[in-house]
Amino acid sequence: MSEVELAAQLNVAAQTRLGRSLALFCAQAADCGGCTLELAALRGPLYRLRQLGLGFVATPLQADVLLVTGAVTRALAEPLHRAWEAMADPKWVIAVGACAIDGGPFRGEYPVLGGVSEVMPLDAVVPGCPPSPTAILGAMTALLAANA
Amino acid sequence: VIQVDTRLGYAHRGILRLMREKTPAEAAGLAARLSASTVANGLAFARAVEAATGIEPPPRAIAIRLVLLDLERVALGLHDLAETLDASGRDPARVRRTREDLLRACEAAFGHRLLMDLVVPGGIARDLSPEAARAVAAPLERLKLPGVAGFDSLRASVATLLTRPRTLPEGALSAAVPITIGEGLGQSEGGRGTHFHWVQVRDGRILQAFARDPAWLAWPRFQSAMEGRMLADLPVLAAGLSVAGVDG
Repeated sequence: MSEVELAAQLNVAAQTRLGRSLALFCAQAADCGGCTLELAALRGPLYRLRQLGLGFVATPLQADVLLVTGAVTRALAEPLHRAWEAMADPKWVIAVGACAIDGGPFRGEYPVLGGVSEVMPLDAVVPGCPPSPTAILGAMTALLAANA
Repeated sequence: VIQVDTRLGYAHRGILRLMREKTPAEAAGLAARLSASTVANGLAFARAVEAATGIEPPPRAIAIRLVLLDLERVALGLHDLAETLDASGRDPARVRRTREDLLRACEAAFGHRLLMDLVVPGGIARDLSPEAARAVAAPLERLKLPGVAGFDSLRASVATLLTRPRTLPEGALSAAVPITIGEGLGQSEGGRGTHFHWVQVRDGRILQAFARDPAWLAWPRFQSAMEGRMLADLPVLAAGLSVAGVDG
């Protein structure tokens, strides 16, 4: 087998494998803490993240998916955009909860720009105040299925 | 770490300004989203409105509010314990499982895992049935908390939850909030410390509001606790710190 063939085979295997796992990074915008609590609950043993190929990482540099919680304030627009820029392609963004979707109850208030789509392209939303871990998981498995 | 300076304000949503001109019922939804202690915030705000308008919630509402407060204190305590175990390299799975069982019991009993919007000015928004009252604390029956100082209040909340829901007084769930002029201060003891809310009401609307979240004290405490520590201690010492509670 030639080196080129080997590399191609490795590439296919890597794509199959990597396509079936997602590294998640939580970016907390102006979040009261409710959505963050439910994202933390997702780490509990009942949700079997590891078995589903999902895991949290410590920086956006390592992440495939950015999970944003909370309203996007003017002060957080740039840091959030930088987190998104730091991620390698291909990458996805999920707005978790009413505030991240469009600012929620704080929409239109002077410090608030609105939802996540104000500062980066958005791939999925999970409505709720806060959404349950099951709902968040549903959005991620849908993303996995669409991109595997 | 030589010194820690925190720069806050990035999560400022303008909650207190947004509460102005709202009815107490509308503003309660905002107060409940000041920080993660949603019951404690909602309760301190409701007590402030009740003090401002000179009313007392019915006995059943008072009793169920305390059940809600204890449930939140225990759920938050288990969350902070799990994060601390995780950050110090120990297995948090058992604590997370107990917390998840508790949140599911809360959803079954009250329709919301985190008990949001159940405390309203004048009383509570939803009753607790005798069956749900028995079931809600069941996940805590086998809970074993670490035998160290600092868990005393959590232990007390667990003990109360295992007895109080069975002895709830009968009666109404809420009292009407009168249209009047006044100001009042409300206080509650949440999982992360004492919450204060202050309101001025006029003609059935909030004129001004103010809130002091326990995070106000937690940040300076965190700063001085970090001094002289290794940077690797940060996740343990930062467990439970709220940005939104300070930023408002």
